[in-house]
Amino acid sequence: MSTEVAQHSPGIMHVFGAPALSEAALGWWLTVISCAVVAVVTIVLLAALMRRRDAQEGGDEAHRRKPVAAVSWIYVGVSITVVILIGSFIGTMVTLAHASRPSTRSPLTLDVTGHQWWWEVRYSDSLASDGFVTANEVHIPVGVPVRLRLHGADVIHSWWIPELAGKTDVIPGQVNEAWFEARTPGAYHGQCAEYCGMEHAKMAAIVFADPPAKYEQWATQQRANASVPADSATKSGEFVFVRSCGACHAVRGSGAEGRVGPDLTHLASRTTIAAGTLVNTEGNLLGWIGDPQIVKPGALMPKIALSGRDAAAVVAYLRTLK
Amino acid sequence: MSATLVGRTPTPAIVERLERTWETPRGWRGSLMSVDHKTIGKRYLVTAFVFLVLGGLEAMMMRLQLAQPNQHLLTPEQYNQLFTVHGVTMIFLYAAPILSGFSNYVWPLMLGSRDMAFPRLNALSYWIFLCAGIFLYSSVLVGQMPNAGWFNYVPFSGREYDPGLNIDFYTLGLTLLTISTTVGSVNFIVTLFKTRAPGMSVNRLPIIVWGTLTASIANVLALPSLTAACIFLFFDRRFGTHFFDATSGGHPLLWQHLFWMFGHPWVYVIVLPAMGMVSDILPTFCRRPLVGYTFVALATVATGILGFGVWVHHMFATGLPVTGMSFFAGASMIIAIPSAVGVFSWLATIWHGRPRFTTSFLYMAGFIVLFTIGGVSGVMTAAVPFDWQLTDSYFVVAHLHYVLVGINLFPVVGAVYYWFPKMTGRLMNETLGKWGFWLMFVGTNVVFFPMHRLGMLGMPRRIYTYAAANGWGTINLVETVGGFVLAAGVLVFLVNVFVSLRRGARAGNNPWNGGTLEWSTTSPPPPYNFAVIPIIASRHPLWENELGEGTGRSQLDRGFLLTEGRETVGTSPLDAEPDIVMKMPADSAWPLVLAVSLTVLMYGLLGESTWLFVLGVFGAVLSVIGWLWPEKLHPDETIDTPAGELPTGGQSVHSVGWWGMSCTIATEAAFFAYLLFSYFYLASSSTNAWPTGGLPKLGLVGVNTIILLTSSVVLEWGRRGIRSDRLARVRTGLGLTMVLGIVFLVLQSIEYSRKTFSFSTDAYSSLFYTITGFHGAHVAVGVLMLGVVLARTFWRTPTARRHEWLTNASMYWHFVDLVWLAVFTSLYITPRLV
Repeated sequence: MSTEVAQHSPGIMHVFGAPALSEAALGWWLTVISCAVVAVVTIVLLAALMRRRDAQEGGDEAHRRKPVAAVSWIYVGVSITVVILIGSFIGTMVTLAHASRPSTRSPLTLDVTGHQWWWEVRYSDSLASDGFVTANEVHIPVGVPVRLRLHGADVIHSWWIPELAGKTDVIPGQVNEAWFEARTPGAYHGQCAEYCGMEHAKMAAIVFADPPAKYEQWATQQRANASVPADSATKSGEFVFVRSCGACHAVRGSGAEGRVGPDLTHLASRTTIAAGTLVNTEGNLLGWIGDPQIVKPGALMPKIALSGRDAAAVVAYLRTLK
Repeated sequence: MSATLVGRTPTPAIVERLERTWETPRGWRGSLMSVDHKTIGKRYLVTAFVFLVLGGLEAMMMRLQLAQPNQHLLTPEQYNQLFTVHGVTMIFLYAAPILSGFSNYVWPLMLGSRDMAFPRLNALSYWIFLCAGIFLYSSVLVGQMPNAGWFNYVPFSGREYDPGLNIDFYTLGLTLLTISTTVGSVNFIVTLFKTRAPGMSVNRLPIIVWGTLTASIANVLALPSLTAACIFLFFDRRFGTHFFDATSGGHPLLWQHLFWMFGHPWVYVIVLPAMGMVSDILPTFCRRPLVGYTFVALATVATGILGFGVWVHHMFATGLPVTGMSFFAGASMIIAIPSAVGVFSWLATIWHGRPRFTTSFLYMAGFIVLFTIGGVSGVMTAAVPFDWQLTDSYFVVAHLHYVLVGINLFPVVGAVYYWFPKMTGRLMNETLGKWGFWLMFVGTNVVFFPMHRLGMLGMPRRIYTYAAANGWGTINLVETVGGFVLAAGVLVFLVNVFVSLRRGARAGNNPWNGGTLEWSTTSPPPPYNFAVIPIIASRHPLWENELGEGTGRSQLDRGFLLTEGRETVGTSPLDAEPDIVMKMPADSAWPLVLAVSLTVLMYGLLGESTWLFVLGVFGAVLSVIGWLWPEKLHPDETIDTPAGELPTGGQSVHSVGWWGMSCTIATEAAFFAYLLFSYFYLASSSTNAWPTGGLPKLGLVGVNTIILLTSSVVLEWGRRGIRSDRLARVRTGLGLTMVLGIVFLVLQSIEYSRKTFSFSTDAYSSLFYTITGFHGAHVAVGVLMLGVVLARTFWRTPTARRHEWLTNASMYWHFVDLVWLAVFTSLYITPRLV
């Protein structure tokens, strides 16, 4: 398979959203304190190992030492430890208060369903009457807290976009709530963080934080049905698609209404396919459709037998689905 | 009283008689039948090291696959099996058994005893461990090794998503292993409380003894949670029950709670004894006693207790209520305090001591650094909102390897260098040792330290590959190199073991000038350990001269002779006042036969083969009968010792059987507690109607409850007859209780037949039948036990002074009745209160 996804470095300390910012602040303090503790203990150990001892401490014998002086190590050490732990706990509780809910109400709710091995994302927007569904790539407006409801369709997954928020597990049988808010526009990458089977490693998600106007533009486009095929080549591609792919995939307006796999109504607006595994190019689409098992062994998408012409037609059609 | 005992000295004839009585005959028969704790201990060590190597090879393969992005050295399925089996092997088949091996070997020598309290049980725990390891690894022959991670979360490990045999190997193999570990833990607990040299009071015990004792008590209370979880999963997979099935009243998080209620105490099981080894070995090489002994002993116990209150920190990302998580965050931070006690004690001991830089010492010193790193990263993950970023990432992989490699492997290797001379009579090579240490220390840090950073860069756990765009490639490559350095260090260590076995310099009794009792024996010790059981007067019996006046004076060359067959002294639990003479069993094949039978039984369950299952049951029953068959037993006699006439075997709290039964009751009580926890957890989380079929009727079950409670009264009445030697009353009581027990079981079956739901209807029904079913099984075992005791009264008359079988069986029966009260209240009464 050809070109890789663009370079990015998701991280938990260099972050661009809430609650990741307050989590990272706590994390910096804990990291600094932890490094200090390790440094102090190591230095004391080295000093203890290398310190000069008087020759008159005799030969190869056990010694009586002033017991009080020696035991005071424990009193002092434990006291310092307790102070550090109290501080850590207070910091934890303060951060927890910030991180567990947004400070303002969320106008936007995303229902994220974890599947083996892709993410289904439904938008229900309190401002518009109809929502829409997409997969793996999510757009949100900058500066708006977004509420997430996490649903499990099969096994436990975990939704994790490190630069925006810590992770929350997706557990069948309960709906977990989470939230995030991007403070800066950008593309924020993440991937499933709870072992969920064969292709757990290839279940990525990207959150694009757009300025509000651009987000509205995107949302309006997503809400619309698929563009009607303009020419006969595209039409025949649509025909093959509905026949061969429609059982599992939906493209609103085309007749394909399958719900087993991701909704592809606006596939061409996404930067990646196969849950972030491949860049969304013609070549990669051909390769993926040709044999998903080469890209993601164990993927639940079967190898559909298509002639070369049909495959090319389908891919051409898919690339019109902006 | 021990202070006034005057010991007796052995003659050469006595020593020769001891040698003959205690030695294991040569040849394969003797070898397979041996119950000598030294043999069993060494077997544990060798076997656990084999599993360490296997686990290490699995790790190396994973590190090669991850060294660069998008590699194809392993398929995803292969990788997923590897990381699962690596975890299972290291945590279950290496980390705990290696500590059992050391404790097994060293405890009786440190405690001044001739063997553990239950030598045959000791052999059993080893054989089951070996069989369980073979059972788990036999899955490779069908290419279906466990593949859902070492903590095996549902629903992925359920029948729908993992239909092959992989997870059945896991549940059955681990259940088998929990039997081994439980049995071994009971042995340690009873040995500690009963089988010490006179005068070895609890404040004179080496810290490894405190560590293993704490770990053993934790095991007894925590292992049943894993057993319950595995049983539930096995039932879900094979019989269609619904413990973990959210659509039918179950819940996937029940698995996580049960697993981690076991799993967290378990991680303290695999480090506390090792920390104890550090606390005992460091002082030898610092040429002074441990600083703050009492604090360290108490900190060990405190860690074990607190370890039961932190399990939810493995579940911080599962959507639990914030208030609850705050409690567990706090507890997870508090548990760092006893650890700090240890660290500062060790630093102080080095500072105020005069270190000798032997290889063993280097491992103990290096351990302090690794312990600290693992400890602080643990506190970082205890901070809930930051843990939301850290959990399930490579940061946790870094943390867990620092605590496991740092707090288990390093002290273990250091302990090998320390006790190898005692076990083999030869010293290990110090040059090779130092090379090995530095390779291991550098390698450990190079492979695991960068994982903290990788986690902070967003790399999740358990991924078989990653995209180049993430920027994780270089760090992974460095880690792989570090992994090979660590492996080289382990290899050097193993080579050193083999070379030194053949060509190591001869060691005397006490090459390190240690202060504890094991250094008073020869290297290796004779089969009987001590020609005389010594009389102890201080914490460091071999350092009493140097530590100066004020400490007592132990008697090491005179003491208790005990030469009529295999005998050792039994003492009171805290002060170690001698109170009985323990008659120890001869070598036996039954432990091996029982272990193999249980394994065959597990294969029968695995392959759904009735004849294998029946064969296993038959073998197990036969072994238990053979094991308990009354031999030409000691009559109710007393033996002359320096502490006066002591009875053989003793009665109630003086007898090891009473302690063994008490521990068994404790672990079974814990098992039912976890079953009832599961009931209340699902009752509160289920959206289905609960109970299924409406409130359970109280008529029949009420009668049954009265029957069972009456049986306890009847049994007590019968049992008390022995105080005035009224055998007829005893026998009547036993017989009537058995009848009442059988009536209970019959009425229980009628109750079952009246229920409108089956085993696999929904979660409530699954729980109902499982809980009452296990209770019924305990009643059936109780009836059998009472029958055996009743039969025995015709063969070997119990007397007012000696009737342990009767006492122990009665304890068990009363326990089973109490459990019924809890089950009845939970299942039949509490739904009416809601």
